[in-house]
Amino acid sequence: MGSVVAPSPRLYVCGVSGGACIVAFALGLLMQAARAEDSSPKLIEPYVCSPVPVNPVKKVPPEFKDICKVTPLGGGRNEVKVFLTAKKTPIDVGGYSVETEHYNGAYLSPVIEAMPGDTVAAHLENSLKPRATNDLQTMAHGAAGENPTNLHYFHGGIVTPNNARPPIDAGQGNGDNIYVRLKNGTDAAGKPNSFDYNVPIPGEKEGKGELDARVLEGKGWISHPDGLNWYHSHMHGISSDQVMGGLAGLLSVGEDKANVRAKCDKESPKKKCADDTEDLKNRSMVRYALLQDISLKDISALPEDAAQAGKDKTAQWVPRERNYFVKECPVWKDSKWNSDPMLRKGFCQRKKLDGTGDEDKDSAWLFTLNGQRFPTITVEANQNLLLRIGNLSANVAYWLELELCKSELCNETTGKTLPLTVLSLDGVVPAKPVDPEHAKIPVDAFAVNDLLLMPASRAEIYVRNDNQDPPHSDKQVYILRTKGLDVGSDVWPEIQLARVVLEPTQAVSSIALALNVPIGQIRVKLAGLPQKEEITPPDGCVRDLGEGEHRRVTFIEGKDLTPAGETRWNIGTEIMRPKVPNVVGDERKDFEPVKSETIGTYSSGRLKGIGFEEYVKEDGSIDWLGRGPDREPRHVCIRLDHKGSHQQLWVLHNETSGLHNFHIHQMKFRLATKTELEKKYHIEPPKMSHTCPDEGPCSHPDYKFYEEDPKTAESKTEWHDTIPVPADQDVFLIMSFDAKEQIGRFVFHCHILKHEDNGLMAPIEVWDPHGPRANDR
Amino acid sequence: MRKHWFRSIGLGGLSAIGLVLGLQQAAPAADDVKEIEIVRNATRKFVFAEPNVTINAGQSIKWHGKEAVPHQLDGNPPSPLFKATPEFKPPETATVTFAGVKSGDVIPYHCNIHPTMVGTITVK
Repeated sequence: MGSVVAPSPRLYVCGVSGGACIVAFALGLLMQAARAEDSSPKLIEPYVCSPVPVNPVKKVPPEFKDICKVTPLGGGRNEVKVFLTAKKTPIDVGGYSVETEHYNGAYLSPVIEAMPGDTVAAHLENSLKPRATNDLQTMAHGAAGENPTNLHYFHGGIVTPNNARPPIDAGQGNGDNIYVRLKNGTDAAGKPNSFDYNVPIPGEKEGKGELDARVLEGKGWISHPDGLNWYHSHMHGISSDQVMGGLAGLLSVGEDKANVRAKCDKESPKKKCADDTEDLKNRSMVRYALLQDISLKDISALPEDAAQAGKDKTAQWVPRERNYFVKECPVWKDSKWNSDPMLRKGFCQRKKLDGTGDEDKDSAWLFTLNGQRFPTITVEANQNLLLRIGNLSANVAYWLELELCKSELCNETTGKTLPLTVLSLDGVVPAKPVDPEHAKIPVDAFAVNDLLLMPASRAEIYVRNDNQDPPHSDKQVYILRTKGLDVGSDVWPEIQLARVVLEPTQAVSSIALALNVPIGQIRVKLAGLPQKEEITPPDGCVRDLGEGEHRRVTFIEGKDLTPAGETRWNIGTEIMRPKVPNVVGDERKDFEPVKSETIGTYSSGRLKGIGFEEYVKEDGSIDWLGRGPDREPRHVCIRLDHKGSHQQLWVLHNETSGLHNFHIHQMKFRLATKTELEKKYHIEPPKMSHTCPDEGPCSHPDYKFYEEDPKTAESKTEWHDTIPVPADQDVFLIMSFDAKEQIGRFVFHCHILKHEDNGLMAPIEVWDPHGPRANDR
Repeated sequence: MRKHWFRSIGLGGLSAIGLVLGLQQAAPAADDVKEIEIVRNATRKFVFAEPNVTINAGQSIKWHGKEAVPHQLDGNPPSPLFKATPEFKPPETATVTFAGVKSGDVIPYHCNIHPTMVGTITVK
């Protein structure tokens, strides 16, 4: 197999006139640019379904014709509806024709944009083929032939699952309800089986849909945060397969530049602030970036095989080859294996599946950005890049950095990294909850040298090309990469993901970015649910936390391996109370569980937890009531009363041998602060609040366990919906269940989906003591 | 949970554990101690480097690892021949002296925290 050969440095010998020299030099540059394009195609932008007209109007790709429908609902609100058909057909993935499970005949799914106050809707059809029944394709439950699917619509949303109102079954709710189980096949009328989702996004408009600000520790009512979220299949047992195949896409709440804001001094005239923000927005070019990876075998040619350029390459998708155990992910080039990470431009290869341990020339693990292998993102002159990036990988953590290249081809780098300015994380601007007073205080946008995006995490990253002084007259070419990362159970290799080209620019802007006014306008009004007759807790619950108690969630390794030899996982949940009340103590030693309220059993004094399978009935539906005379297993329940449900402390304890990635639906959470742990929860914080030393390099991401106390009132608060939990560590989270949108049944789980599929998920039910409750009898 | 380990070890257990976490009173002679390393295998799972070992009655086994992740070893199923060790995190080690065993005894054991980490001890 051949490959694209990088040009060697050229020596231009100039004649007396000099003209030939200039021509030769220009030709050289052109040739180099052409070769850069050969090995790094121009970025494809995804199709965007939005109520905001796209300017300039773009041609709709044939596969997305008629899949987007925007219907005005009155009062400036819209329903934004997409039509998604899950099917398995050959599609293009990073230059290969591969048969995967995806939506609408494309690996790059549509981006959905909707404003707070809008409703996002989806018509989901399941036209998937039956699954094979061999050991590598088994499902945890249900018939493989049904190959069910569903939607988490949407991940990051503080939106209703709409599955708590009697008399409907939990699987029938048409909100963000992952208990839907949509089988393949056709209905009685011969139409593909389908399900219609309808999810209002709480907005700031009069009437329906405001969000109780207490859920983000604010006051009154706010809009849903503007930011980047996503949607994906959430079918337990096969979610890793389906997401890896392409059943996933991004979803933006708010217009795409909503979080681009100028820093305004307290004394700045209001108009100047507005003008500066408008100026920044005008110079911001938005690019969505969907990070996906896929495991292939039987490739017909190497990704960079020049002899195959322009020809169709083929490969087979192997969704269960989803583990990677060595950092040295080689590339077959020039008739030998190469371990140079700079050769891993959007791909590397793997070992044979025959157990010999040999490398496999016919394999490829593709790491794509917008479905492309190593594309180029060009930032035009005098413009800045707003990169709205989401890790849509089923299992891989991306540890991102941007490094300056020595040449346009980016075969060598300089060691100089460009700090990444972060405008939002996990769909929320990292700032204090907004109230009218606080909104006047500028909060600087912050820059990081690298950024860990766990699976499912999103970020808005701002790259400036308008404030270099002096302006740069040459192209600046950077490489976006994920650094190698050992997470214990997997070792993910370094991969070069894309080129970022900053065109020569003359602009020198003095406007700084800020994180103010992140959440929306507040209408001061006391939030509260209508007071009705108080009802009893739903059946199948463990009781909620009492005074002085917190919840401990433990990730536990199961006793057996799966038929494919993977680890099974369990979750144990306990209500913890201090052995001596009101005395600050070690969470691991000085607190004890209320054993009658533990989910999971103890053996030899150790909590064993349970896997999600124990809640699943033969037909794939969920048992909310517990079976047998002891009515086990029960599930976590939260009584939404704004007292015990507000600012609950959850301690995540990982006693397994690898990193996990906690995620909970219908909400955001934050890390507890040091003072909060001591004063409010009487817990002595661990000595280290994070894993890396304060100074010097660190060989791994800086995992946080709790927040040091904020130094100033302007300090940022990071909100998350996923968070990494390293092995043998505790992570301290503050969780507020305050919005009526949270009422219903959902899950918390590890968002490394192969872990979730193998048991690391638990049901949770939030109930309204004054309103209707779930009734799944 | 690490705070419970001491509850699972009765007095008999303490007599069987000759050396644990430096708490021993009379360390066995070095020749009587067999060392077993805890490592990750090719699929990144913790395993005993030597999962099946043969020892003499009265001999000790010392387990040690490199990664600072806790382990707790116990009979599988629980057996009076192998009392559970306390939780130990490398560089800590755990040592068990097999005093009350006889020739022909086969003692399966595992890590309580990583239950797929299994081994057997056979007495000569």
